Amino acid sequence: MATIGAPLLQVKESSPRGPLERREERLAWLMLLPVILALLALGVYPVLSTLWFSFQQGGSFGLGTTSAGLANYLRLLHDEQFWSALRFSLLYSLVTVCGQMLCGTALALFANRRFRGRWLARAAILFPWAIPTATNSVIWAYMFNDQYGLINSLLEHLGLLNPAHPIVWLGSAQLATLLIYVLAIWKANSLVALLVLAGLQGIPEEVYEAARVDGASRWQILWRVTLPLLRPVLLVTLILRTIESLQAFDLISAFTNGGPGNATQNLGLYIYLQIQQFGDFGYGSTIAVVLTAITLLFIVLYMRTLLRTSTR
Amino acid sequence: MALAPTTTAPATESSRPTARSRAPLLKPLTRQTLLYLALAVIIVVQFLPLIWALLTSLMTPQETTSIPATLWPAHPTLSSYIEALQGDIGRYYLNSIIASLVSTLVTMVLATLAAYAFARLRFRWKRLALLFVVSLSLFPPFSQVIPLYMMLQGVHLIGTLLALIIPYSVFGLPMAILMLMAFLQEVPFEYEEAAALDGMSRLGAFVRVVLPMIIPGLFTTAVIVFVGDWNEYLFALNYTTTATYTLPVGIVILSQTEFTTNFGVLSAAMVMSVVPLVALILLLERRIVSGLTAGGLKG
Repeated sequence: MATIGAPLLQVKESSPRGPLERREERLAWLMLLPVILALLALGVYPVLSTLWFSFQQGGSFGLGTTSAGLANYLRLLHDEQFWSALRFSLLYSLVTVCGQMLCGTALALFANRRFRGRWLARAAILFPWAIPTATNSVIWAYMFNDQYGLINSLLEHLGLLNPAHPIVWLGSAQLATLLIYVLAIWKANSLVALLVLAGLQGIPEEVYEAARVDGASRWQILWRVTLPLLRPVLLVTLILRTIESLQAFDLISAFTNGGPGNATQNLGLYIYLQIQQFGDFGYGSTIAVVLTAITLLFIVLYMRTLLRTSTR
Repeated sequence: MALAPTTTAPATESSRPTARSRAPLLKPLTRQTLLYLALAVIIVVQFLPLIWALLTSLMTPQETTSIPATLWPAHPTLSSYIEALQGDIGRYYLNSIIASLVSTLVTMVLATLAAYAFARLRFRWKRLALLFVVSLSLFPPFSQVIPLYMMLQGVHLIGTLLALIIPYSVFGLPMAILMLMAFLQEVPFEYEEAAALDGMSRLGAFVRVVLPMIIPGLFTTAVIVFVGDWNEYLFALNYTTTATYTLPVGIVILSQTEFTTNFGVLSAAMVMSVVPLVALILLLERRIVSGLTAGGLKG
C-alpha cells in the first residue's frame, strides 16, 4: 500500500559490525555521494547564500552589494506592498487549500467507486496536474478575456450578458482574486485526489462490510468510517498543499501578473519584481527568507507527522 | 470483483428501517444515470481549457478575434500550427525537449543509485540522510533562485540550456528517489540473496537482477520527472534569454506581448505543449497514480 512518504517509514537504522557490513556501508555512501554533493552545492548553499544576501544592500543584480545589517528587515516593516503580498499569500493558501481538500476528496471518493469507464474519471482527475501551470494560466486568461473570451461569449449566447457591457473579469480586483482561487483549486485538485485515492484503496473491504452489517447508512459510513481512517493521509496532504500554495508563482504570474494594480500580488511575485525589475537581490532575498521561514514551520510539521506515524 | 458494492448496498439498507438514507428511493437505473452525469460534468470541467485551446487553434485568425467569440471553427485549418512551428515556438519546443530530456536522464541515473542505497543497503545515519533529501525538496525555489543565478552567471551559463539542465537535474532528485525507493522495496530480497550465492557482487546484483525487475517503475518515475521539468517556469523565466526560452516561458511572454493578434498560434502552441503529456497520461494513468503517491511530494 502506498501512503505518502511510505518509503521513508520503512527505512531502518543499523550500525555495521563485521567487515562485510563495513563494505556495504562504503558502497552505500559511494552511491549516495553524487546526490548529496549535488544537493549541498545547488540546494543548501543557495539557501544559506540567500540568507547572507538578505543582509546586503545596493548593487545591481547581486554585484557590488554592501553590508546592510538589519536595514532590509526594517524596510519590510514599513513596506505596505510587502504586507499586502504577505496577506494575499496567506489568504490564497487558506482558501485554495481548503477548496482543494474538499474538491479533491470528493473526486477521489467518486473515482473510487466501481463502474465502467472509471479509468476515464481517473485520467480526467490526473489531467490538470500534467498541464503546465503557466501555459494553463494563459489559456484561462484567454477564456476569461472580456472581448474574445469563451466565458463572456457563452454568457452572451445564453442571453445572460449584454455584448455591449462585457464583464471585465481580470480588470476587477475582486473578480480577479476570485478567479485565481477557482483556477488554483481546479489545478491542484488532482494531487489531493490522487493521494486520497491511494488512501482509500488501503482501506480493506471488510471494514465497510462490518459497518454495513451494523446497519450504518452510506452517509454514516463516510463520516464515521472512511474519513476517520483517511485522517493521516488527509493531514499529510493538507500540509504538503499548504507548503506548495505558499510558494505559488507560475499560476498567478501568467494569469494576472499580480494585477489589476497589485491586487493579486503574492510573496513570490513580489520577490520576482524585486530581483528581475529592480535588480535588488538584497531586498528580494530578505522577502525570500521570510517566505522560507513560513514554509519551514510547515516542513517541521510535516516531518513530525511522518515520524510520529512511523514510530507507531 | 464482479458485483459492485454500491449496488448491493440499497438492499441491505432497505431491510433496516432504522438506517436513514435516501438511497433506496432511487432506482438503480437513476443512480447509474446520475453517476454518468457526474462523470460527464467532471470530464468537461477538467478538459475545458484544453478543448477551448484545441478549438481556437483550428480557427482562422478572423474567427479568433471576432466579437462575440466564435465557439466552433467553421473552416478548420492547421495554419496556426504551421505558423507556430515555423516561428519562434518551434525553437522553444526544441529547447523544452532538450532541457527536459537531458535533465530527466541525469536525474534518473543519480536517483537510481541513491534509491538503491536507501532501500537496500545498511548504513549509519540513513534516516538523517533521507530526511535531508526530503526536506530540501520542500524549500521554496525562491530561497535558491538568486544565488543560483549568480553561480550560473559566474560560469557564463546564463542563456545556455545548461542553465536549466543543471538545476532541473538536481531539483528532480528527491521526488525521484522517493518513488524509486517505493518500487525497489517491492522487489523481494531473495533475488539478491540468490544472486549473491551465485557469486555476484552487490553492485552486480543491483544492475543485472534488481534493475530489470523495476523497469516499469523506472519508466513511471522518468515520466513524472519529465513532466516536472517540462512544466517548470520560475527557473526558466530567470535563467533563459530569447534563444533559450522554453515552451511555457515563450508562451507566457508571447501572450503578454502579442496577445490580441495571435490567439490561434498561441493556442496551437499550448495544444502542442500539452498533447505529449495527455498521451502519456492516457497510456500510463494507473502507473502514474501509484508513482505519484509513493513520491507524494510536489505539484
